[in-house]
Amino acid sequence: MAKSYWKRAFPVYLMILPGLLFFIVFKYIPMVGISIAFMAYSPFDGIGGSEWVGLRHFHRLFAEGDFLTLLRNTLMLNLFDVLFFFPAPLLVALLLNEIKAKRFKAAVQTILYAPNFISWVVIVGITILLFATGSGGINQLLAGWGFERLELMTDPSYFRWVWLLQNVWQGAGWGAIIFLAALAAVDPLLYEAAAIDGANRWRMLWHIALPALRSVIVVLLVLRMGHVMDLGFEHIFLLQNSMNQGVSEVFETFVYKVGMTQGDYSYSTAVGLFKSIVGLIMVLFVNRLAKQTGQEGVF
Amino acid sequence: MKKTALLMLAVCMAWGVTAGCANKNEDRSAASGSPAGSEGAQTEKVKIDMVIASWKGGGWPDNNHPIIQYIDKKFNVDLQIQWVPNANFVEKLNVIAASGKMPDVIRLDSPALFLKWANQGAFLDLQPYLSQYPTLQKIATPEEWALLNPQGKIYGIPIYETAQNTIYARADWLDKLGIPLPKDDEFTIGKFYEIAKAFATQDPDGNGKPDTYGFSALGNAMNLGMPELQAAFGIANGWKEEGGELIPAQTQSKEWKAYLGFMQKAYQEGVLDKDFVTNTNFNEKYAQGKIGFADMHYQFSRQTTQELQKIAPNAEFARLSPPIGEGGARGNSTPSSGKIKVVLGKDMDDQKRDRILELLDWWVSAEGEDVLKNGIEGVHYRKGADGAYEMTDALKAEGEGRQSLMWNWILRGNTNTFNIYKWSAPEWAQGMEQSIGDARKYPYRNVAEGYLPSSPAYAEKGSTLGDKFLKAVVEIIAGKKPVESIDDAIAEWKSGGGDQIVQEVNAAYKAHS
Amino acid sequence: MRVRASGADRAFAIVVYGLVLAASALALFPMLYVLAISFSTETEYLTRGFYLLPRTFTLEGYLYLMSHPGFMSALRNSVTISVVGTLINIALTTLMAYGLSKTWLRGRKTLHFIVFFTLLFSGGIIPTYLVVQALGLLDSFWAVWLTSAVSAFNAIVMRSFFQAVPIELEESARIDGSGEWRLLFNIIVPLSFPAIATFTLFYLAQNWNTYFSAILYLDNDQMPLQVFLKQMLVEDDPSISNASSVAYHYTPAARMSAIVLTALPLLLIFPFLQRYFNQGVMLGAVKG
Repeated sequence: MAKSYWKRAFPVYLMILPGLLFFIVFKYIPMVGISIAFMAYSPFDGIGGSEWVGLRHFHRLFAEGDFLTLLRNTLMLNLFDVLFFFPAPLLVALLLNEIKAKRFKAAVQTILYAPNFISWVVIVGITILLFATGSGGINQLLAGWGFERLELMTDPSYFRWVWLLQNVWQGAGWGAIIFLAALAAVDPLLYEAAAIDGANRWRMLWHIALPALRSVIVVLLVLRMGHVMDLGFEHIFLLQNSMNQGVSEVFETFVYKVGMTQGDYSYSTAVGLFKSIVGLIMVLFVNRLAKQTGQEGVF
Repeated sequence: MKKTALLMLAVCMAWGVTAGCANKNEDRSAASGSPAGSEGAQTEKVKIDMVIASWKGGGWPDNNHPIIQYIDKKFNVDLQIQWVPNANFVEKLNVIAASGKMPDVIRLDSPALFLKWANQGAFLDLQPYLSQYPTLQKIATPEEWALLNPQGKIYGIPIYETAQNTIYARADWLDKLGIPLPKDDEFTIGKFYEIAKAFATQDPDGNGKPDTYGFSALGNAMNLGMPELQAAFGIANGWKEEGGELIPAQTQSKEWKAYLGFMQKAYQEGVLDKDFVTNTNFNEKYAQGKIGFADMHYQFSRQTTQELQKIAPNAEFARLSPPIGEGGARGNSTPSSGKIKVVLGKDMDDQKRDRILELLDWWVSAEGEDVLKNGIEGVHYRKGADGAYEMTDALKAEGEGRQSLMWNWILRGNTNTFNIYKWSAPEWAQGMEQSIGDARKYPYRNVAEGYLPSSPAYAEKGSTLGDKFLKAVVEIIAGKKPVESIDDAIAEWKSGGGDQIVQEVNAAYKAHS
Repeated sequence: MRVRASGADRAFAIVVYGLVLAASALALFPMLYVLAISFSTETEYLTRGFYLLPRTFTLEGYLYLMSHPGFMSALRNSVTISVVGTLINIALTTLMAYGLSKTWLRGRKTLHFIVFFTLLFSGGIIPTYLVVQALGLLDSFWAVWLTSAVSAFNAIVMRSFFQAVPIELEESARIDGSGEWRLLFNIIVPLSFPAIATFTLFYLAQNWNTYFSAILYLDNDQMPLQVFLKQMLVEDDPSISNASSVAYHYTPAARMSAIVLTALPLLLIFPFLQRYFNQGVMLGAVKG
């Protein structure tokens, strides 16, 4: 038995090996660098020669006057993202899946995924062009019709929605690709059988398409939880201004201002490590939840 | 479990190997340096590595640029410039430093980083050699050479900076509204407001729509991009000196209230651009032709005027002095030379050091300026039929100014014509000299520039505290909060770490003077 | 659906097409603006605000880029990074994901966790750079290819795709006496074409967007398009106008043309890959 196992397993291990080597060399060896978080790191002394300072950087982080604000802002944006952005690509995929005209589908899909290649500088620039309080096209229209101007870019209460909608605009079509691939694996015979049974399109979507996507959804959701403290730096940084700072300051922008521009690697590594640990806890939690509800989970 | 232990072992071993390799490389590069006895003689080719931040447009695509080739030949060097986009410059620099291959020449725009690394002994002390390079020595005053350095050491070459920006006004709009161009001595802050209001309300562009503003501002900078206005209200340009003490602007309650009252009114009455909060630069704002008063430098005003004339043929930005406030306070923001440094790595051998200093000495000479700023004759410019210089088509296609990257992004001397080329219209050179001369008549300095980076509290909290204070300022101007609430922001700034910063900065100040 | 088109189905179809068209319009509208500016003169751009149809027409932006040596070399570099990089990515990821999808494999959970863990924790840029340096990969495309050879995210998701392949297929193949390699290439890969096409696209996009690792590891003349593009789009900070006083000015047309030209290759590739997204039909064929 053992011999036949190895005969069967050997090629499989061989297949895994190159990837594994990659992870060891380029991901695990550099993890020694995490120790920078516990040092007063100087590039000239190196990781071996810098002074150990224990948890000093973590004390500093938790003692920051804004720590709770940063945490709240980061978690709120992520909550918005998971609740509203995460389902958007799924919805797009299900809609596209219902379109049978091939050419039309190809055209529409290309259009929907194209925004993924427009950079945030441009997206934020266009939004300001349209919604700037004074000169924005939309606001001039509103004012012309006698409505109140919409302070979309500066009123802090709009910030999260603007950020979210821009994310959806940029990413929904692109994110749909992965769900479409999963849908493509559905056996067409299932649809035919359902049609013969008299099921309408809505029922087929509910009973065939969605279940086929279940495992992908769970995997993506669990992986998403690992980044519950991460938000794209560039996007938020571009949207940030003096007025919305109270809701837009998150760990990334904060670390950029206090650490990166001065080359304070120890502090930014400490903040990164803190974020990773929160991510790990969330992943373990959600993974268990998934398993308890009868899904396979990620590991 | 066993597997994890094994993995850890592998990691540690591999780490040892990496660290070893890094050291070996270092040794090798040091060893390849100077064979004994070749002093001064330019017989041996020396490789010089520069790591330089690049700005809009980026650096040159490779190191075969005609100017680099010219220098390579003239000094028998192999000049290798690595341009790193400014946004990622500090990261890249840290990574290179960590790898043990400190570049030979770096330009550091961050005083905090300069100070930190100078303290760690990363840079070559130029003090002992400077007197041998008189041209280089002359580009700055002894105080500028000393700025940010410990007593008796010089760890970097100061970059020359000068006051340039002042208030400009749309002369064509003034004409149309029948307002004479205000004279230097009568341009009070009251006058400024009166004219600004006329710009905003009397349709100076004649399109029948109320779409013009008196002036604009930037929501992302403490001076709101219009430092002249704060100067008129007596607010410090960051920090000022009073009775031997350095005082930060953030504590000037009375001055802020007067200024904020002015700005709030301007916002309410539509004199100040309603979109100032989201503005991060003025480039397009001014070129769109909706703003009457601008804060710009000479060249910016010429370029914007040219652009505007495509829309409004009479458009013209005319230069003014900064407005006069109560008690005669007025000023044009004046940066200190020496905040930005060009540094040399400390590990180089004597031959390389001499060669680099020789190169830099030539660099800031008249001849060096000619080559580094204008480029190479025949490649970047040529003499036209009428005897006047003109750009070659190749440079025109690439863009005027692209030939001057080494002059403007690495090191330049203390001449005021840094953006004026051989082929520029002569009145541009004159205009630039004159505008800088005038701007320097009204100095408005941050007196703590040399001391701020040595405050640890400033390094840790300065930017977040500054952001919060700015938030209060912007909210008050936009009418979300009353003017008096600035006192809360001042109290918050002080208790949040500002008091500590004041103390540390003053300690550094007193230790130095 | 020829079987029966009920009223409910028709209503359903109307809703679907309506929503898709609305979404497309929303996606298209800002992109048309970018396209419009890329053909406009600077004066029109400055004076008109938001518009979709330029009144002026100029090719100046595109001509500028086409004749710009930096743009052309960046384009070449991007193609090199993307094509070779994606081949490496797909080969390594497919092999690894397939291996990890074997439920009977011993150590599978540990291996899988090793992959997963890297999604959460990373050593940062400095030690990674030192590894690259130690391997002698600096100033070489290999640095970019190898440091991003496998995306843990893609490997994990791809594994879950492979796990959806019915187990009977593997059983029957084994009875035929095929080894794992033949099973992979003759049966699993053809069956998983939609997944492989998807990840090819993901990797292509990821490689095409290479920015930071290029700046870290590569030389001036190896910089890809995204670096070029960003340098055109960035506005210098006014507070350091003294530091960056090369008054270099890109016209809006040049900036927007650069965006269009940078996005174009991946938009053009999509229809070719899309053909494979529909290959799932084969599954039925194999089974039947």
